[in-house]
Amino acid sequence: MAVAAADKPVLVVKGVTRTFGEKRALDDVSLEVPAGSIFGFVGPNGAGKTTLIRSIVGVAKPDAGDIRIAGQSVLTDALACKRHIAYVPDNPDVYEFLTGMQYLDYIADVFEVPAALRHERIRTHAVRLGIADDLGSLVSAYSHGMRQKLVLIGAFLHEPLLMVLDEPFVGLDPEASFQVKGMLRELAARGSAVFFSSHVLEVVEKLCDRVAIIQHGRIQACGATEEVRGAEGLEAVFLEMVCGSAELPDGMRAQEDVR
Amino acid sequence: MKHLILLLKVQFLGLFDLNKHLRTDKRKAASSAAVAVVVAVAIGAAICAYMACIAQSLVVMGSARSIPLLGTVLVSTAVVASTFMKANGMLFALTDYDEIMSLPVRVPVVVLSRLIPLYALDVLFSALVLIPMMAVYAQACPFPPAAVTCTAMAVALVPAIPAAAAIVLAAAAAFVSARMPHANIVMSCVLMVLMVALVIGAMVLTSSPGAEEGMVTMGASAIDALGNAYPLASWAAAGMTGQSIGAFALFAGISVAVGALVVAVLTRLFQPVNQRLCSAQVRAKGAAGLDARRMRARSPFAALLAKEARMLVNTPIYFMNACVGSVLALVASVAIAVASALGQSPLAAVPEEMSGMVALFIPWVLAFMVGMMTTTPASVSLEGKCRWLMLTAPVSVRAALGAKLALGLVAGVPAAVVSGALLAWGFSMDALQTAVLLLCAVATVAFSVALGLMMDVRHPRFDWTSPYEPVKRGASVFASVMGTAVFVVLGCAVTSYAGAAGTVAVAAAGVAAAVLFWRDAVKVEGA
Repeated sequence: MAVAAADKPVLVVKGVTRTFGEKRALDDVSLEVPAGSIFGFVGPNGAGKTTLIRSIVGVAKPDAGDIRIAGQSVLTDALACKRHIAYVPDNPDVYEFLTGMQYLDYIADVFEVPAALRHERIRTHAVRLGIADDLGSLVSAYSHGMRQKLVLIGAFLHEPLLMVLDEPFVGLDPEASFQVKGMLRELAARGSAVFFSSHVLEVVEKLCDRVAIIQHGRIQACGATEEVRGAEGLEAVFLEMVCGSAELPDGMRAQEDVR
Repeated sequence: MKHLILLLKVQFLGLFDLNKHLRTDKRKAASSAAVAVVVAVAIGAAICAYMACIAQSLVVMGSARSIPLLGTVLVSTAVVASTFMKANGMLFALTDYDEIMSLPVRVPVVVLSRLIPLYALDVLFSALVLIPMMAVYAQACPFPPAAVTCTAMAVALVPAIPAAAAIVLAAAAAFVSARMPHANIVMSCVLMVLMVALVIGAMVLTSSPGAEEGMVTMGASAIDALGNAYPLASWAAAGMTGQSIGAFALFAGISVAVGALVVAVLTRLFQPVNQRLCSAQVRAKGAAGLDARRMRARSPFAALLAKEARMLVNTPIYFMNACVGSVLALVASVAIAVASALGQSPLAAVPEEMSGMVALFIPWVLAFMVGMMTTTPASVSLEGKCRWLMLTAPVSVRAALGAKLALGLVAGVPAAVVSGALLAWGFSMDALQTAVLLLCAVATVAFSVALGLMMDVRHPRFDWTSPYEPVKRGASVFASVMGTAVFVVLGCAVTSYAGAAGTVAVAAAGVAAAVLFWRDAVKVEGA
């Protein structure tokens, strides 16, 4: 695993703008993710989360701005950046004609993980996520959660410098969700950075040391989790920014009462 | 009825990305629709013209009475093959099965919504074959009003029983193969064997006593033999010629009854078969995948190539479409080599003064067979929803696309070389003729593979629900086939003027074009 210099951010997003026709999906977005940190990226549906994530991992190019990973620009040296990244998309679509093991072998080959290391890493992660017994089966036989686990194991295989995840906990059972949080913490503890989007604000609040809130393509708040959430908690801050008021909508208030 | 129309409408909007274009760019939607109509009309006209030529040849040979029977048998055979291939994906193993079955729509309506487009295509093909053939027949033989009515009914009814048989076969194959560990590979092999058997069967029939040079000269006795093998075709033909309305009524009654029976049975079996296909996926026992494997690192390119190869053999329609030409070339060349080894010269039936000319064009015949269909025109589109893996992998565009190009060459070049060597031996070619033959075949494979890749990089279709869509309906596949056909026709034209030197020149131009196509493919934005 490449190790980032502690004083330099692993991910730097600077003035990124992306438009789709009339709609400005990202509007001058800037943020930094330091080495060893877990960065939560939250926002309502259609706010621009996935657009920024796709730009970071080199799938889509922004119209303006720059994205740097370990000092290298995604726009000019995408290949070098991709070697440092692992990406877990919101839908774990993987080749159905492969077995789980063949998929992991393929990912390990593509990321050039030495044969001596890959077996132990696969075994460790697969046992931890409870999928070891299914790796010989075709992916077409997997449930959504199993596919999510498989993609997650593939993402951890080359011990990336930057792990980018789009809604990583969707479809995972509670035990696997717990394990993944632990795996992300361990990865960050080894000096990597984790950048993930989620709608589950409780998870973001507990797991992340930094957080950003995006709405209408603009960053509304960004900083250390304690600073952003303040005394009210992340959910209240989020609702105030998104709904314009910290007051809960009627339906949500009723749910609060039930609790 | 309302639900049926809605389900049909959704399928229609998915054709050729129609809905996507309508929502994003109406001008592009109009131009796409116009291109699709022009292409469809051109293909339809070509089929009609070809069928009319066959019918006219039978008239010239004095076998006009065999036209209706031959047309009926041709339609039946083609419908069996095409429906069998389409059923898996359109009726069984649907990717949108859960979404459809969770709708408040009755199962018969769902089944009909899938059957109607399938059968409509069969009827369209039936019309393209039977109408021109019967038009030629009407000019040569008496064609009373009752025969006209029977012909019109035959166009709609002839595909019924073959389609029903194909659907039953496809359902049985899907049901049985669901528990096989390598069901898709088995299905790929079965499809290929069926196709080769079909072609060999046609070759055997056309080389039976009374036949001289292929289908157009197939003797009346051979056509009658087809009628005896499939009596329903004879009954249909009897009505189409006005000879026996009773026989036609029997044919129509059985067709309608069998069709209705299959719809009823399919309605009953639709859920069980699809549920079995969804739930009976083979699971490995224990940690077999983890423990039984010995880790062996490969280069990223080798891993990409292996993945492409697995995609090919595990996607039956893709394998069938991409490799049938190469397999048929091998089968034909082996047959010619065996015939030659047994002392039967392949050129024995050809007048001596023509044998040199035939040998001159053999390279283009082989080129046509090995070059028309390749893996690359659908290879990018087939990434589908998994394309994020390709886009985020730390490999260059050259490596990602190079693996696709390499698979096309690996699948095509050995077939071209082995077939070429066998043909050269079978036709007793000298070293120079053999070299020209091999160069021509390999160059056409390279041209076709690179053209297909460039077209699919430029016009990928990722939002498919069945691999049938990019493989059979993809614009890049069509453009690649047409481009290669033009290349071969051009090669034949130049060869007819300049001889073997012309063949070499066109082959060299093909290789140069392949290099240009490759360079263009890797430069496409977003590739």
